[in-house]
Amino acid sequence: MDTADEIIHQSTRLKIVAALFALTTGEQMEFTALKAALNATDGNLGTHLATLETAGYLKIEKDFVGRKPRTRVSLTRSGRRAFERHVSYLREIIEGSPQR
Amino acid sequence: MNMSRDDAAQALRDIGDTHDRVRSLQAYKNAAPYFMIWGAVWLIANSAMDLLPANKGWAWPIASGLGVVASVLTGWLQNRSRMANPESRRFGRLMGRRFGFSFLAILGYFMAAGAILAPLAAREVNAFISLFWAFAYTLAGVWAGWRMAAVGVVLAGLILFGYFELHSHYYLWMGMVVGGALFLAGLWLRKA
Repeated sequence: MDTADEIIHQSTRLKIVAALFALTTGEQMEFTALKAALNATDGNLGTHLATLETAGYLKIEKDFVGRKPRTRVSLTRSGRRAFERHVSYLREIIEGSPQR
Repeated sequence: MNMSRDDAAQALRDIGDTHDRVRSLQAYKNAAPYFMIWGAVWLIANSAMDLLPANKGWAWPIASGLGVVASVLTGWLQNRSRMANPESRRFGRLMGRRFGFSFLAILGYFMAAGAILAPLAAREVNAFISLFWAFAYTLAGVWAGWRMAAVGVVLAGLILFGYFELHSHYYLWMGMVVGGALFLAGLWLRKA
């Protein structure tokens, strides 16, 4: 049986990884788009993105478009695998042992 | 870590909702520039039909030709950043072929329907083709997200109103109001 991923388990981080998983492999999402998709605040989203980056689950790229700063995030291979394992764990709970 | 069935079910629901929302937002973001391009095409071509009647034979071929070029360029720009990834490149080529064949199928339908319904006045052809796209947006919205469906419904209402209620300035209505609405819909989708 797969095990729960302690990092992805947290609600906002789960949604961040789910949002990035919906894109094609390696595709980036802008911070502002992610914020809109999750209805999150700048501070909250930034904190959780940093946690996921430290774990190696996502890559953050910062650059400028003209004078405007732009932050883009994408899921790493390791992040995709961790998410798949976590979803598999969740499904096993629901479909599996009734004593939980 | 122990998790209850209810918590696991809630987490899976959250994942599903997030996927749906991201896919809707991606669809809006990708579709927005095309709505703006074709809103401008409708605005220019239809307004020219009303305001420059001497040149009305050229209005649609020139405006729609520019629209096709702008759409192809937009598609290329949208996919350029994804092309570094071989998997995305293959997917992009597949989608390009699908869009191309879809366009040919629609063109074939218009030609076949035109042959059956002939003779049609220019105004009827205009309303018929415009309504087709309005309902196509509604249909796309059923899958992609409510905003796109709403745009289709509003456009269809405006087209039908113009066709049945406005006789002398139908083309001006189709240009300024319907084309303008399509352009604004693009801005609305981009800001979603």
